[in-house]
Amino acid sequence: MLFNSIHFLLFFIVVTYIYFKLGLTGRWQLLLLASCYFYMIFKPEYILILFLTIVIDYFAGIWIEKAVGSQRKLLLILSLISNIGILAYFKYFNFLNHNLSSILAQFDTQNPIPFTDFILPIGLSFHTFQAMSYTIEVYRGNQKPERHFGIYALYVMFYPQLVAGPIERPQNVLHQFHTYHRFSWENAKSGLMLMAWGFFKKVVIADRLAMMVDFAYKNPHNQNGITLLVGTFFYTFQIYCDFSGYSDIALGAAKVMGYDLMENFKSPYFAKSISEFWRRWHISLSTWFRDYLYIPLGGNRKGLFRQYFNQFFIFLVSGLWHGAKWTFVAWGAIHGLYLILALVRDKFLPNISLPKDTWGKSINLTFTFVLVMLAWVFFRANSLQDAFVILEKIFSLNINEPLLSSLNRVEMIFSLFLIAILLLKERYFFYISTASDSQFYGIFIGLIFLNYFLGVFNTNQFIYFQF
Amino acid sequence: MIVKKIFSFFIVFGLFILCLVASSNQLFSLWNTMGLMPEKATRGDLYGLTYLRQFKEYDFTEQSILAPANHSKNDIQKNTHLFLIGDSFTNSIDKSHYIAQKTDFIRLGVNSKKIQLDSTKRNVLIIQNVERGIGYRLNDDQYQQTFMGTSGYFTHEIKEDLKKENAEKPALLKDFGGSNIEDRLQAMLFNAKIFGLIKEAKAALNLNLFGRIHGKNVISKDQKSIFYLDEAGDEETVGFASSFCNLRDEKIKEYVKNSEEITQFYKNMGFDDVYFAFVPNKVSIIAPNDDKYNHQIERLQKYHSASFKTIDIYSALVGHPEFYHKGDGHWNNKGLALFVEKVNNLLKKKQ
Repeated sequence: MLFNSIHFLLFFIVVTYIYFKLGLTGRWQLLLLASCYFYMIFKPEYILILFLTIVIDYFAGIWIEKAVGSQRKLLLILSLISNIGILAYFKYFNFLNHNLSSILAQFDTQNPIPFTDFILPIGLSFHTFQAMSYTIEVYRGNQKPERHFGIYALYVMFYPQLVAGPIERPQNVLHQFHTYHRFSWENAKSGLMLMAWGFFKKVVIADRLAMMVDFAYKNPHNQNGITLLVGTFFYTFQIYCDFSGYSDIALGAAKVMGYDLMENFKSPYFAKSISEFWRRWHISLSTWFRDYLYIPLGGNRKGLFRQYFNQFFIFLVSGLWHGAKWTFVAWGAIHGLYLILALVRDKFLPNISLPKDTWGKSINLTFTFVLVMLAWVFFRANSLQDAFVILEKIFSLNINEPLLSSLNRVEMIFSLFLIAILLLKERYFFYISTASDSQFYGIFIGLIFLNYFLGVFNTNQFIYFQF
Repeated sequence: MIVKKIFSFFIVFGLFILCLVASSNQLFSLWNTMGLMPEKATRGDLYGLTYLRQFKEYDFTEQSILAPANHSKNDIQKNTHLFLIGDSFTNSIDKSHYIAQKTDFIRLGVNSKKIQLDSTKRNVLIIQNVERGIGYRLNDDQYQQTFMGTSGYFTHEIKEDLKKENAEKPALLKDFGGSNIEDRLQAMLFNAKIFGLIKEAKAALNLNLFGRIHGKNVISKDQKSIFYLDEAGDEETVGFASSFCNLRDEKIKEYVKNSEEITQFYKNMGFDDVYFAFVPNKVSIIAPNDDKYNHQIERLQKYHSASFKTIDIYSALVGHPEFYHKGDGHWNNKGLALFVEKVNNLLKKKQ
């Protein structure tokens, strides 16, 4: 079910209303049922994959707690292999097979392994990672295994964050499902406001910018440098508004019912370095990789070279996590390189840095933004070849070239105005205050009005649904 | 307090029922037949997408209805059976308008019913096809499946297995599931007049400020007409459906060859005459100069070696934009009358 649909709005109202009419037992049952419905609207049969993951990790958690010595590790490894196996089969099988075919073709040999033709189960990477964080935390002794199968299933399936995160940790969420949340008008107000702002980011900003981005990126060979530069600049904000808009709606929907999910974005384009950017962007994923991959690999404790390698490796995997395409791998590799270069500079040239005054900060911020924006080219491009063409055209652009656009002049200016509004809001009003009722009603109704009249409703899915 | 609780319960219960109804096509149809759907004033399919007030046809229904047939009994061609395969352009014509002794209509892509031919009669088949459908119905990959299926729409005799094929599928199997939920909810909740006004306000804002209309439509250069994107978009976006796509001679040759094969197929089945009737896209008649018109119909009809027969509707429509609806992608009752006249003239002609 898409958040930006009437179907979801009705679903949300009905589920939330019934939720507050029920006792604790009824609530988890309702939420589990509602989450199944939410997921099955996409493709009903894929619920079985989710169910399989839930069963494996539910029992893995219990058995890991009971096991001793090396058995614990073995059980953890088995559960991780099962999870990654499912992910690999559905998400990476065709990618690997395609690459194998290309290699074999170099030797005039045909690949005997047939390709599969199923659609990638929606949100598979998200709920697989969330399930894995549970078994890892149980193994580490940070989390008691959940004995209640229904509650555990809800931990993996909780509908607000089921298909595009945030990727939660069991310590943060599981205990909340055991708690009875009384209706709180304050929670309802802040949740609804967050949802309305999330919708604004999605339908008013992201989907509007998408029209220009799609136009520029559809056939980059036929576009000029200035068009591709503006397209890339717009994509930088499109992807942020699309993904953080989804997170806002997810956090808001959960908040209304009394649940606190983890923050996934903290104004990432105000970061003054790449490492800071990653502390502000898709926080639930970057901390996942930090806690469950980077640190176990040795982090920065095993020498400089190993630290560089770990850093680079994490970002390669992160790129691959996003999608089974070389463009995503390249995007991850570029961020890995950015970070290694920053580490090298900090280590060997510690005195080379800008003054910490406003100008220095502004230059750092702009430089970081430009680096992030250029990396997005790989994320959005249809192929590696396209990405290189786009970068080549951007770096050799002629300022006198006409800007071609699918949006008229007014809408282009309006899009820039929206970006400015977004940045101002993030800089000065990260949270919209809902303390006063009249202020809440005014802003909330205003946002609904703007969402309808200025929203672009082309049934655009959220970008991160594909991951 | 209790009143408030009861009120909110009914609101939420109502929303739940709406979700339930929207998730099933059958329940949705039932809802419709029970008269629970807010009535949507029919103002044309293109208006229904764009909600641009300037294309709202207040007399749309009157403009769509063909006046009752006024031919005399003597005009009826007693030994002629007429069979029509057509699309939405001819779907609404009542069979009584045709002067054949018996008329059967098959809707392209919708009906799969098979009809038995009476070999003692003159059997005339007319295959009507809108211009935007030619490209994807008559191409090499599609023409057999579209027009001939496994054994065509008609047959010499109805055998037992065909009786089964003709039988209706159980209602439960019909489009049950979650598809189109959003459209159904839109229809159930937002068809009322008040929402029409709000949609018009948004459409006007989008057009006047941002120069944008609904993604499935195109507005003419003079801003006076709207068309389907399919028929007036660029080739890269919509392919061969567009009147402005670059249609190479090899494509025309391909369509001609396939039309001839379809003709032969039905002739072998027992039809005495087979005709193709190509209905021009609205844009081909109203705004052919908005881009480079490819003259698809003329080129098909005048192809030098073509051996299939056509009913020339295009020539009769050129210069007559009044034959098309303002807020709809189809022709109006004048266009319908023209088609009926052309068909009846053909039936009168002795072969």
